[in-house]
Amino acid sequence: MSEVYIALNGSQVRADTNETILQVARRNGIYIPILCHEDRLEPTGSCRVCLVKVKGAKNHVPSCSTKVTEGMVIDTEDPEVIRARHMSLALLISDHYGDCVSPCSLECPAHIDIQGYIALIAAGRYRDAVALIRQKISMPLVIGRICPHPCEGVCRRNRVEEPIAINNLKRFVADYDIAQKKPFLPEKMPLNGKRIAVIGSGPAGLSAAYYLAVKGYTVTIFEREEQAGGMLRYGIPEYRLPKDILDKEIDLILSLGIDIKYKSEFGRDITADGLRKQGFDALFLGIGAQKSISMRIEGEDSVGVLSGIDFLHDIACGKKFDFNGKTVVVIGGGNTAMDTSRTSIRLGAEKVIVLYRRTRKEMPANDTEIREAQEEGIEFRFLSAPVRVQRKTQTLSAECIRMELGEPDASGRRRPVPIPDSNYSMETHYIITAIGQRPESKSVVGLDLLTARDLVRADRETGSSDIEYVFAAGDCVTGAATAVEAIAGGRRSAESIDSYLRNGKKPGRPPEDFNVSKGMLAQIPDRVFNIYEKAARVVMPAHAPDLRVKGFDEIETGITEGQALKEAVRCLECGCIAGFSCHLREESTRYAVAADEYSGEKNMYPEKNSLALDRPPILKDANKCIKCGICVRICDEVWGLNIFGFKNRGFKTEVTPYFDLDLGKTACDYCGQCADACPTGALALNTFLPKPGPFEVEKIDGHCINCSLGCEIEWNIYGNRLVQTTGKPLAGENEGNLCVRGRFGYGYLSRRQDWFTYTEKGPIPSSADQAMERAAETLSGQAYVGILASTNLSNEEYVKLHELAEYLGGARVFHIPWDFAEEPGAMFPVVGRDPRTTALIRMLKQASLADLDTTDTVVLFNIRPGRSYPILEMKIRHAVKKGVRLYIISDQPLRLDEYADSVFRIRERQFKKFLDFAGYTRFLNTPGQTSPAAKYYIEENIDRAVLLDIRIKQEKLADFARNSLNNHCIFITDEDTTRSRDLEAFVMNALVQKNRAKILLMRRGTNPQGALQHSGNGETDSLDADILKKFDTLLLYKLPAIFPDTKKNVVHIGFKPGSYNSGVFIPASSILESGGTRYLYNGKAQSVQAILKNESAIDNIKTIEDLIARVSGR
Amino acid sequence: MNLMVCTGTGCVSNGAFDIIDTLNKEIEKHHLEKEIQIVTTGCNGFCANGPILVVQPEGIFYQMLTVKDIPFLVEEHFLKGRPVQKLMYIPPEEKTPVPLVKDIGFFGKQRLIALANRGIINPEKIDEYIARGGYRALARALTKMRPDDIRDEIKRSGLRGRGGAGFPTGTKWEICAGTPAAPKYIICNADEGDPGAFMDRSIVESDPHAVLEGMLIGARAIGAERGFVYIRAEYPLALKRLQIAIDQAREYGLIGENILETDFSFDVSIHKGAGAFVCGEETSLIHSLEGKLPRPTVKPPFPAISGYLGKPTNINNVETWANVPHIINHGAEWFAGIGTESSPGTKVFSLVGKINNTGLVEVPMGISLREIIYDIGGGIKNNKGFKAVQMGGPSGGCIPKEKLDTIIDYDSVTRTGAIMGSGGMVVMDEDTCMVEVARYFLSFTQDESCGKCTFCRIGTKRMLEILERITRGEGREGDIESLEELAVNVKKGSLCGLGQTAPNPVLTTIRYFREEYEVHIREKRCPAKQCRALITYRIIPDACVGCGVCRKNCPADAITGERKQTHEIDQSICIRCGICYEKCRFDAIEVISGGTS
Repeated sequence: MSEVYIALNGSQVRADTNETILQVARRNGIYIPILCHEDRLEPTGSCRVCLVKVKGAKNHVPSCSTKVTEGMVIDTEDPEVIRARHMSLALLISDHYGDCVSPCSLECPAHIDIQGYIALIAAGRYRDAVALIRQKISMPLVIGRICPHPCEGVCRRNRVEEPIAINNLKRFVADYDIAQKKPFLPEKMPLNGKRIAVIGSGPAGLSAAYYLAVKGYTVTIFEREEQAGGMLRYGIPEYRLPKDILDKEIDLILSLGIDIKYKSEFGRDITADGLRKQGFDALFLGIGAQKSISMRIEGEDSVGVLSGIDFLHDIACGKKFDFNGKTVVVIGGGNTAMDTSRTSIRLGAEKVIVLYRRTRKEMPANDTEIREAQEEGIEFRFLSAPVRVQRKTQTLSAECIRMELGEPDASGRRRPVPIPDSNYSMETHYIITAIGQRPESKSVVGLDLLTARDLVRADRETGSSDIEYVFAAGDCVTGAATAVEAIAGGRRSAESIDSYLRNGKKPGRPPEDFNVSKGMLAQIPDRVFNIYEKAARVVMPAHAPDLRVKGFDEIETGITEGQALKEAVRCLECGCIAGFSCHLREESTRYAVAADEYSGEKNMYPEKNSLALDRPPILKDANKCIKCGICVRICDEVWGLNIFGFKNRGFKTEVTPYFDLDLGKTACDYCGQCADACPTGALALNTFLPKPGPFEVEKIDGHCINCSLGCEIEWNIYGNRLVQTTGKPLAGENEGNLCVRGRFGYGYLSRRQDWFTYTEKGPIPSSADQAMERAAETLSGQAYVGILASTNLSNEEYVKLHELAEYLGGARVFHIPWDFAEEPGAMFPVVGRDPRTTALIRMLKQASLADLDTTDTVVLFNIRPGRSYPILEMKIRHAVKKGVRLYIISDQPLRLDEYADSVFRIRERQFKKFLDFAGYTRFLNTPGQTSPAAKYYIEENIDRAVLLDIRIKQEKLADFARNSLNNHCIFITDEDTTRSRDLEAFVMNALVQKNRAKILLMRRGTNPQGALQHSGNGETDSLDADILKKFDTLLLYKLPAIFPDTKKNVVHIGFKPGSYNSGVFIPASSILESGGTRYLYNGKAQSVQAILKNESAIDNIKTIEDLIARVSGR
Repeated sequence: MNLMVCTGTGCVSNGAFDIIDTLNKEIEKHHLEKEIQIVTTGCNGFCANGPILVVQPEGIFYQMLTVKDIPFLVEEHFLKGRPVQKLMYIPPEEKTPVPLVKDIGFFGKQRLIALANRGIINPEKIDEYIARGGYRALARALTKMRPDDIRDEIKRSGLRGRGGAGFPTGTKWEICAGTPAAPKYIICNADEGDPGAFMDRSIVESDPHAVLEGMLIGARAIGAERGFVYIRAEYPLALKRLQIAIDQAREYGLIGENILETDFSFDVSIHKGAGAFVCGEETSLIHSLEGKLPRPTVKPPFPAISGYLGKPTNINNVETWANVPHIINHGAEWFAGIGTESSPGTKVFSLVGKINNTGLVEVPMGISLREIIYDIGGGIKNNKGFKAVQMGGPSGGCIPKEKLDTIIDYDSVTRTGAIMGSGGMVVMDEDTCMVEVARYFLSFTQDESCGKCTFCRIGTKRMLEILERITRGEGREGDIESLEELAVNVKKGSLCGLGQTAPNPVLTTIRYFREEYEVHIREKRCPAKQCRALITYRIIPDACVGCGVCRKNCPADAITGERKQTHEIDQSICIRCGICYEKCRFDAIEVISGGTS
């Protein structure tokens, strides 16, 4: 095309008339959002988010589909088009029904990725789960016990039967992890030399210290008490949070290298100025709210009237109270009141009465706390408040007044109003007040940061205060609140401090990620939940009330691993599977779209495929479809199928598989291109884990190892697990596309890696050493050992395996492609090649997939590319679309038939006859031939060819002969399924035009070329039960359990145990775990990097070496 | 004597064929076969008054005929020579009938080019077309002109596309002809989708050969050998006549190989469309023709460069094609002399709505809206006041009273916010609620949106919801501004003409009738008393005689009252269907603007 100059956002830019505005903009580093555009597809221009302004154009111009012209003046940032993009996104959102993020996670004060860690628990990935939790909270052991879990209140499972036991699951993984030798701690960044002083070692302070230490700061905590933990230690009784658990949590945090100075009180022992002078770069205040609010009534200071906070503090410090036979009245309705009353009953009080001025409904204490207190025999007296206390000799007399509820106050709760003349009095030994807490104002002496209510004035989101280097969070900022809020505040402050110290300025509130929601629990229609089977929530085992009041042992004992796994599966996965990858969400965040800018009818489709179990590989949720049609087009244009189509018109437009069928009932290949390219979560690739997450994966570029085409692939890794595979548009010979095996053929990597002994009763677990010893024993001293190995081995494994064969007295090695072994049957093709044919093949050039783009003609013989090598099929189809001629010789119909110029349907037993005849015809058309093939046709085959009884029209054959002769031609066959004599005839055909023809011999497996190099000369095409009979012992290597009815001793090194009567199973590692080299289909060597750590530390090379050592040692 | 009986779709549905049967019987009975010949013609245009019979050569116009009228008519007029006055046209507000076609106002100001043969020939007989000079232009184009001469002639004539956008036809042909790829295709767009519009159908029904001849000339000019007529399957009569015309033309050697013994070959076939509005858009139409989903694609490339099967394709609308033979016959200067400088020629309109003379009219460009509505249309029905006229179909716009003197040409109409479109003209009287009008038209385009692009698929839906809300009395402050902002973005951000014009009715009604929206929103009243939620039916006590008719007919049982006592409507039950209002013979029920709540 031709070169033009255009004006792009004010600068002159060179471009080509073949380029679109989008392409030119990208080339010049200008970002334009896209949703409906995919680099593999022709532009369609339907989503309208890529609009730009072009001078002189009446309307906004879609940049994805508009080519540049000379002198074009383009503005990509014009306010009108920015507004139009915003509106387009807002309109798409207005018809988007789903949850970007699960409601539990949104409700969590710390925004823990709850759905994510539950999915990891379901997958048995406990350490990963803890790692995910620790991203947001530093104290999972504590929070897993004492959190009031507002998440469970909004859990969608409430509408099915009961919420997921989210907090119990958290406690389970936290407990599990802390019991490990090395509990999880995030990797620390290198020390950056900056020092931070943290005041207070309560949840806020510890949290800030934790996240700062991880970021490389040197942190010193100043604590006025003798031990760390703040209210966690001094305010929460042992039976809810045992001190040894707290100690473990704190020790782990401090092990990040955090220094702590005890008995250092801020304002007394240390001051802000002093800390600055000592060289601290920033100061974090987490001083809490530990001073109790007074009741301001007469007689409050009488002996026997205690403050709840102080009372709990004293208990924690080991002070003894003897409440035996005493009556205790607790004033208040919050958690401190519950803790106080329940502690009192444990101290032997005969009667404990909680006096609360409102009713049960208005009580701020957690429901569980109230319920458990009632179970423990604590009395509640509602709508009562003390007005006067009088000390008598032995007892206290409390004068109370009755209340009634009036108008709601600022908190939304109804205000208690005293009923005149309703006074009454009660006798008690102790009165403990627990009506609220506030920070101790003297603590911040010297800092002008106090509010009227004695709170520290700081931003609740960022923790930053009016003093540049001072940050604060937790109860001292919010007033008495939950530990999880303090922990979250501490983390956010740490982030702010980090940002402040790195950029030198205080951060503003970060932009919020866009979220769309299905709405409040009650707003969702029943049918959304009707599809789920009811499953009871796990019950947290706990000591009985009569037992637990006898002491301070922890009441709840924790759920078992089995219970946790079962519970995790109940999660409905409300958050979108594309939560981390959705383009619509990303752009909506970028353009600051609000979820409710346009309200109106939403298309609501029945939610198929959202069941927790029995997941198909591709998940569909039409409610998230933006009708961009990428799936429709990619299936058609790239993959040659036509599974998806548009249904209805206008607002009711829907994208659906034909006839509204489930994907599994269509002709879908499950190549997954549609789901990979879907810009939202409407179509999504399922993951290799029991629950899809979603996970914020790391993408590693690599090559698919499920066949020798070596397609470019992105490994999506999360915590040493391959979660899924994706393609990079246009990358590699596969142009970013994958086939079903590249997409979904890696599930076996999430196997358990255990050793087994095969017995008549089935495989029984064994230790690695026992199994290896048994294997060596089985293999030694046998006359004939048959080694059956797949073609999925690295070159290094082939070498080692053949070395083992030598040690076993020259055992025969057969290489069988895994694909065949997976299908039931007694005959398997064996890798090998006739030496004569090998010599002939060497005379031809080796074709590669890229050659398909430049050749004129392709001849397919006895190969089913659609089934065996789908990417090859795709490449051939694309080549045909560009004008390549295609001839097919096959004994069965192929999908490519409709693309072929001629199809020769020949029965297998007549392949050779046909090929000879074709070759002869070709020879006749090639005067002056001197190739070996020519000689062959002259000397040997003429007669037989003439006698051919295949009914093929002469002109059809002549056309084939001519076209495959006069052009650049690629001959392709499947060597696994082609007999050697047919292969030879096919090669002869190619040889007639030796100078131009290229050959492509396909075989299955990761590294069949490697197998070929090691297998020597093939003596047999296939392996069957007869050959098998010759062997005394069988070594199956990286193969499924074939020949299951064999009576032989089997040493099975593989991925999944089978059921043999005797022998052993040794787990194998994949090349993705151990790395290695291999040869691709075109003979090129490739090094495969280990992207996953094998968690049982298995390495096949070491396994074989071990076997060799053990065998030779005998 | 020739009896020209209109057999356009309108008259046929009013029983034209029964009239013909009866005429035949009566003529036979009186043995008048030799003197009288019945000619079935295409649409006469005066559809409101069908079935229509014009007696030639005198030109006496009979209308609204029924089978019962025929024996008397035959006896009186054809036997005794006394024209029957009571079957003639009486203009509104006058008493004396107008016997002759030429004296009827409806026809007086019309200027027929595309419809030159309407009511004059039998569209199913090619000979009649030829007798009226048909195919002479083709012969001239093939024998006396080179293709570039033809293109030049059309270009100089200033003919602009009658499909709506008004793109210069000659220029379009030139681009297509100048594209080197072959083969080339031409398409006649007869996918008339506007509700209430029937210009194209009528032309095809009354003069199919004119369209074919135009296509043949165009094919020659462009270099195409293949053509398609993309026509709605719901136009059975047009389809039938077009097929007959193609067959006859082929028989006469006017379609096929070596036409008129020249080297020019051309074939044409009919493609029946399933009736999707979006198929009126060029690229959608082409996709539909190719058997694909009718969704528009981005232009460029324009069809003239890459159209049907990726080849250069020229699409023109029926009326455009029908103009072509006349231009070749009479010359570009003649055509350019009609109409205005920027928009020469005539335009066919279908005149419907609250107007006395509904029907099809062809008028010279430059005529004013006032002339069309009052002189040709005979004014507003029932002596009501004129409020607005919607031009350009559902994607056009409403032109108010103040703009009645707007002249008809592409640019003047566009300036009002409406569009010429393919020629729909819906006249509204003072009882029309403009919010409801906007809602109605938008609901059509929203339904017909192909669903491809965001603004058209969801944007128009959100606009529609706001309009629905306003007519339900739930309008909110800021709704008008929201509508305007959405409308502007839908127009500027949509891919094809459907989306780019769909907001026009909303924008123009807001532009000219903003206060009507405001009254709906702020006062919860519908001044035109049309929006159900915003009106109240009330019985006027002084006028009610207590006959009970309203009570008996009320479907909601909202009316109570003893016989001969004043009745009353229970507003909490009333569904405001208006049946009582219609049934009351004493005008005792009034409609009040404003809801009950």
